[in-house]
Amino acid sequence: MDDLLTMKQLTPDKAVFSDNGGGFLSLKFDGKEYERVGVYRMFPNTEKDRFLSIREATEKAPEIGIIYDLSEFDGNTRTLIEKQLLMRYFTPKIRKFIKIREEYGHVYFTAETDAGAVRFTIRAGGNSVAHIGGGYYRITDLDGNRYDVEDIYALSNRELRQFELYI
Amino acid sequence: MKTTKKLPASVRNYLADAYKEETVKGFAECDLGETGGFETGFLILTGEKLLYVVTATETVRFHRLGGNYLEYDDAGEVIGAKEYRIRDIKEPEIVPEVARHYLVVTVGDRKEKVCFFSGTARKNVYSLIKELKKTLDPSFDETEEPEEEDELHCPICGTLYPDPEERICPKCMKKSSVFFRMLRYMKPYAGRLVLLGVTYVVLAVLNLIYPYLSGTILYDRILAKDESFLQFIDVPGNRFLVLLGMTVLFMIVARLLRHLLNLMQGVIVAKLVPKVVYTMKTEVFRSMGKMELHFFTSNKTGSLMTRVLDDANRVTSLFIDGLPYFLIDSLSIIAMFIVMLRLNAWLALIVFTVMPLITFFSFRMMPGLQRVNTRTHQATRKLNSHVHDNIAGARVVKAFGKEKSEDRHFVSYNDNVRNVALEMAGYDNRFYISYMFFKRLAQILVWTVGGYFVLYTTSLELGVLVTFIGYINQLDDPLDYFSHLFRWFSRSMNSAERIFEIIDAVPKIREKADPYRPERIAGGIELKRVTFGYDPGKPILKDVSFTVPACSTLGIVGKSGAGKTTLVNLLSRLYDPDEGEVKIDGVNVKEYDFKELRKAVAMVSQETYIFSGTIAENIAYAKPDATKEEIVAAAMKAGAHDFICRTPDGYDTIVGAEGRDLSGGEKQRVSIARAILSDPRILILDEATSAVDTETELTIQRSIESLSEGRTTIMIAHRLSTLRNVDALIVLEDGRITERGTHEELIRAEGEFYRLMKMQTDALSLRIND
Ligand SMILES: Nc1ncnc2c1ncn2[C@@H]1O[C@H](COP(=O)(O)OP(=O)(O)O)[C@@H](O)[C@H]1O
Ligand SMILES: [Mg+2]
Repeated sequence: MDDLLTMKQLTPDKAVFSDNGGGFLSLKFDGKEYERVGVYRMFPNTEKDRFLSIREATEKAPEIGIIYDLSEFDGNTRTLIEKQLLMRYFTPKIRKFIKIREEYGHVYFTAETDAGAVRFTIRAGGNSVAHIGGGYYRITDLDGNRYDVEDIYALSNRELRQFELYI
Repeated sequence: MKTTKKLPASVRNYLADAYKEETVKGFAECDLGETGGFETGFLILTGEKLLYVVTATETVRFHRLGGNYLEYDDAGEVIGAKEYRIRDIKEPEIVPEVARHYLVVTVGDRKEKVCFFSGTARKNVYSLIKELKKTLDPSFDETEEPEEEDELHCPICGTLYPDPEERICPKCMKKSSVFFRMLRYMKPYAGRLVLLGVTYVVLAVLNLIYPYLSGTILYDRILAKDESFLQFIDVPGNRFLVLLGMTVLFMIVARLLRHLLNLMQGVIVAKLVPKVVYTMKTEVFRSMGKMELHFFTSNKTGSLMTRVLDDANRVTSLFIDGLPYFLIDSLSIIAMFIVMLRLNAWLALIVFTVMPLITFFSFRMMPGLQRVNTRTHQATRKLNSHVHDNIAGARVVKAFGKEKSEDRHFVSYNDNVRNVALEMAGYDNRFYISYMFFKRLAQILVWTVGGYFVLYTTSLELGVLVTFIGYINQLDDPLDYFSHLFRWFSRSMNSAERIFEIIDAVPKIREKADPYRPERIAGGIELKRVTFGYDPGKPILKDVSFTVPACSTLGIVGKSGAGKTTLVNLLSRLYDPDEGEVKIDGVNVKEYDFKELRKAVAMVSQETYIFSGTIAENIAYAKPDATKEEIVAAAMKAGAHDFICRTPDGYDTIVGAEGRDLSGGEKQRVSIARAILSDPRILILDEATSAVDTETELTIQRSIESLSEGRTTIMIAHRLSTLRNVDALIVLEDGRITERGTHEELIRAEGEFYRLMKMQTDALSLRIND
């Protein structure tokens, strides 16, 4: 591994994470204490527990270090960090499209997700549906909310035919 | 704003109970919990307090109503609440995360997260927080940006594209040739394609045998105890039982084999597609490099390329995954007919008459479908850009009193979209219905006629009928597939056209027939009396000579238009000089193998290319097998790591025409990372950091200095201060070298370089004094 990366590596013996009580994660590392840090996935779509960038929770978010593999940490720390990841990367997974209707340049969706039924709107023909890979698609609605369709081939024929128009 | 809306009854009751003295000044709905999913909460501002009240959600049918948020008259009972005294809190702030935002306040000396919400609820929370801030004090600004429109024409003949978004020049492209040219890209993988073909054939054979086994053999020979069949196959013991066992065993093996072959196909295809796409991308990339300047000046943007690269995927998968199926399916249909004909001519004839009808219909649909397809695209695109312009330019429209005419436009665009969409849906449905009808017709006819034959004549046995039905059912798949394939095919051909348009655009510079492929390029550069001009008789570079020893660094300085970019373009042979020679390691670049030369010379140019794909793929462009660690390290060195991490999707962010737009500085940093990762012998940075801020430039500068060890580096910099550490400098003025030497020498000489340097320092101090 490149020296630059080794320098940045956070290991369980050097980095101690804790809860600040106000919903933030704190970190002690390299003789410094950070009251609030954020956990960012560097490869959110391809690496869930590896390549986590730990950054100060300020506007410029300077990087403190990188966790290359979360599984190296103990269960407690893992739970703390996973909580931050859940917070940051909440994306309902669409199980079923109940209705897709297009009108005047916008598409109105009603869908069942693992977080409950939702309705949302995207702009027709825009870049609202991103192809992540394979049958995996991500919809970003007008408000910037995200919804994942993990496998379009698991949809029914009818759903697929309707949804296909927007990918 | 929702000031007219009322809090739900349950929350009002709760407030009346717990906060009798308080009057509600405003509220905002929140819709997410801290880590879980949806939650119904209300952020409430009273005279003294900021409250967050959570209600039960079981009554909520849908979260978010078309951007309007939920109907909260039916919110459930209050199940939780927290409160803050306004006196105690400071600095309320909304922090956006990837898809969940939260409100944070400072209580005492600690920051605390108050509540969480989606982008939908954000606007309301934001207004409420503005109100809160007003009570606490400050105020804000909002900014808007207008966007530009572009009109494009074909780079070859100058015709305007019929649809600027599609960028296809109908004049310059012959459709039929496209198909065969595509085949060329598959050639290097002939071996694997043959293997793939074999699996298709075996599958087809299995498909052919299976119904025969399960029908004719099983029913008419074995179960019917056909003695003549026994003589045909010589087996000992209870012979029918053994035969039955063998048949069943064979059937099971056939099924297993089918799954196995399917798996194999999947693996081969998955491995092959990225390779071919890569080749295609490379070729396009190279042609882009070749035509660089004039191509882009005539096209205004580089997005043409990004669009095209996306097409490569579609086209390739058609050729690897689509067409073989087509061939094999056609073959197996023919084979099935022959078998059917031999089994029972009458029944076969029935199927024969219906089948051509189906094929005829699907073929007739094809050109129509293709036309309608393109038209929906065009129509929606026009509508969207129109809507967008209207929103972006709303104030302009209003200012000139143009609302009425804009409305009329909108309606006509929109009608257009609707008509085409209807037509399309009509086609789809009509096709589907007629197709289903014919499919059933064939089955019903065979059952009826076959049933009659079986019951009342001896000319047909039950097993044969079962075989027939089996075959008819197997015809479904290929036919379904065909209908799909037609659309796929027409789309892919459009894509392929766009690719070739670019590849074809500049055929000027050719590789030598027997090119030079050195073991290793050291990186020494020599220009000998080079004269070059884009137009004959108008030289841009005039009699330029210099040498750069391998592994040293050269800085090139000059006013814009002096010919710096032109000069470095000659090195990777984007253009050939009119007179003189360009040599690398003492060998004329014209002798070099294109691939070796371009591998050895990496250029980060002023115009950066970002193509459709993820940021990681963009960085790993020249080294597709790079590990994630390598990619991240390269990004760090290029000062790109931080901005990448801060984007919601990090290195997985899709950029390019279909994805997120990067700023000029961000694109430059991604390009630098790409060059760093490719580890070239000669690295050329052509004002590569012109669009990044000074601080980032310094970071990049430092990495590049450490990077330039062991390789030849040519730097063209806008800010002369960044050239302080180069080994040698040349000053280019109007295509001629006017000064050369080290940094100190040039300053001491007090010539042009000194003057430019002084001008920049003065400008800088002016800016600082402002
Ligand atoms: N593709 C082109 N076709 C014709 N003229 C060009 C082309 N590219 C650049 N030029 C001209 O060549 C001159 C030198 O350009 P360039 O090498 O880009 O300068 P610099 O990089 O020093 O700013 C300019 O006058 C420019 O207008
Ligand atoms: Mg230039």
